[in-house]
Amino acid sequence: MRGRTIGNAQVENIQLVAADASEALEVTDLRVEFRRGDRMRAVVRGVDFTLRPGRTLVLLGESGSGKSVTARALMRLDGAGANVSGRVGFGETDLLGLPEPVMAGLRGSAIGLVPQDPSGALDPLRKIGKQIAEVLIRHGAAFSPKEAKPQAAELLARVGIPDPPRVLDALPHELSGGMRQRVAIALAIACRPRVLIADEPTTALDVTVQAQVLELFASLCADLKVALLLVTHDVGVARAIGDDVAVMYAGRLVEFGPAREVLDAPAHPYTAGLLDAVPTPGVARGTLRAIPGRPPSPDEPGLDDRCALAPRCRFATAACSEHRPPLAAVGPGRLAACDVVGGRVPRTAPEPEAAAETSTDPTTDAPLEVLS
Amino acid sequence: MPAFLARRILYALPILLGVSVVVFITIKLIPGDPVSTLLGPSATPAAKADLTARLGLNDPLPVQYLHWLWHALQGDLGTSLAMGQPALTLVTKAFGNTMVLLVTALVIATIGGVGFGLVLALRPKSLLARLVGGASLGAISIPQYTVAMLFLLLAVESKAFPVGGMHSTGATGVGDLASHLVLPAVAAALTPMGIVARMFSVAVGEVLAQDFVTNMRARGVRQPAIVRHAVHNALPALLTITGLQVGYLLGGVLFVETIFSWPGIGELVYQAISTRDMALIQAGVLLSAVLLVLVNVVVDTAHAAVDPRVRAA
Ligand SMILES: Nc1ncnc2c1ncn2[C@@H]1O[C@H](COP(=O)(O)OP(=O)(O)O)[C@@H](O)[C@H]1O
Ligand code: SF4
Ligand SMILES: [Mg+2]
Repeated sequence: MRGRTIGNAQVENIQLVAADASEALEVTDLRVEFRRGDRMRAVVRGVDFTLRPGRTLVLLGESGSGKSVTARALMRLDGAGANVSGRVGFGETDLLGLPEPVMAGLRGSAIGLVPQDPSGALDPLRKIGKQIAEVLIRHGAAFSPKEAKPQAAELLARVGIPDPPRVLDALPHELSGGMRQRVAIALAIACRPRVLIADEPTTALDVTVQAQVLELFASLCADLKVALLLVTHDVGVARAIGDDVAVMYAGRLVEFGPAREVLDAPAHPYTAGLLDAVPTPGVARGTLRAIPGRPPSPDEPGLDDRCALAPRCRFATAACSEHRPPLAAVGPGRLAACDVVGGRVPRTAPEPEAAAETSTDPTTDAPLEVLS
Repeated sequence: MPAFLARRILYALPILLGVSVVVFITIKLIPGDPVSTLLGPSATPAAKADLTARLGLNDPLPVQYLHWLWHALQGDLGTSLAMGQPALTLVTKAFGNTMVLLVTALVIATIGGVGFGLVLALRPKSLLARLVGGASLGAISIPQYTVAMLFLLLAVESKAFPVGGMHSTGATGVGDLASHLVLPAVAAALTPMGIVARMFSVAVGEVLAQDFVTNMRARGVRQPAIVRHAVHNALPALLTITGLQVGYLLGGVLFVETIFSWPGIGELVYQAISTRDMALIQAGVLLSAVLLVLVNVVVDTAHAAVDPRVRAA
């Protein structure tokens, strides 16, 4: 009972402060390390970004680049073994400094999370209606299951579920994957959060359902003025929904900017590689300039002292292995962490010797791994 | 649900039939000749032959079995030759007493097992969890028989509890029954309680590691509510775990009865064996086996009631 009072009082304060701010969430120098034996492995190595109401920031990168860890760190869900530092500013408040009960009061009310796998979102033995009511009651949006029911039905209707009364009475396994993901979204927006975090929300879904769910996210973002952080490895998803794109590699942002600009004219070789790993209609597979090799493991030494992409980058110079280029402005509203390509990756056919090299050496011929 | 129950009972029928065959044959395999036991060492061969014929012991085994089964199905399990009463009457009465002990022990084992299991699962590093862990390991490795003996010694020494029987002479009250129940029930429950605690803590731990728990935390759901969800999800496992314990518990109870002179089926069969009272042994063992099979049906049905996915399977 005491925890709730503290939590809600705090929530109101925070919302008052944040209500007229143009930032919903301001992330500064976020770092996450995990204890491994007696060493620490740094998985997120200093990330900055800002989420704004009504806008979608896409966090794009290969599997293993630290996107999910970043997303969870914002809600302090990385678990007891994680050491999170930096600042996650929510209005005047640094979420990383809040006592756990207060933070728990913000989860699901001020910040909602939509998980990757909708089958893991719900208690398999509870009816959907009860699970929605649980969240509404937890955060004081309803005082009894009876009172929560019409609200829950309204939420289901809002996320495009036909026949809400039937679904309220259903168990999770009675719904399709797409329906379950809509329910997960309904749960995440149940208490009108200011920030919504979605970690690969369409990856587990059929292609046709993917498009519908993305559309739903876009409309929620616009209607509810929610600030959306959408994590994906899929350039197509980024193009479809992103206002801004932050490209992540080896625990750092390597490029940031308006989605259209970044995806049409990348300023970092890694972004260009991601784009080229996507088969484009009309372009034969053999002409793709996929980046060879694999992303570095977080345990690899020296990742702070050089460009982490150097071993895989076809533009790399000797200097790339000697110092790490900072994320710097390369145009209005655009940032990139490469001081070789000068703000624009040349998008021409691969140089002959590079093509020859990749096709004759089987160890480096592996296409860019984009599966999550 | 009714369809599930019907199906489950249908599956149990062949098992019950098999059980009856095994019981019948086992009794036949027990060394010693019931006729000699009945008539005593001084009986004449003619008298022996006469009784053997009257008991149908000259017929081929399958005939004897069918004969026995036919009567058993009609509730006629023969007459206890030692006590001169129908075996079924004696066994039924003893069964009631055994059930009192069994159910009490089961309740103790389940409640204790769930409580201690939760401590192990939720606060694995606490002092209490370490104590519980050690104690449950101890409980698992000591047979119920030994525990019962130990309790008996303690009871005799401390005089805190009655050491045998179900009621003090002349008394019939619930309080009196309860004080007689404590030692045998706890003695029988201890080992299963340890097993339930360990297995239940594993089951709860598995639920807590599932994605939906993380996702509930991401919705701000508090720990007590999360524990409720986890326990609910671990209930099917708990039913299986306790269901398995019932068989073990039944065995333990039968032994414990003989130590605490509890007038149940174990004590009765024990007496019957020492007097070679075949009808009574058969009746006792058969009903124990039937009970076990029925317990399994009940456990499975309860399982289906708790987890709708089982019903569909
Ligand atoms: N709980 C954890 N403990 C230790 N390492 C972790 C943990 N979670 C993730 N990692 C590591 O962090 C890296 C980034 O993981 P993740 O954020 O899941 O990548 P992405 O979501 O971009 O695919 C991986 O190398 C992974 O092994
Ligand atoms: S700094 Fe060098 S290695 Fe890094 S992306 Fe730019 S060119 Fe490639
Ligand atoms: Mg991920």
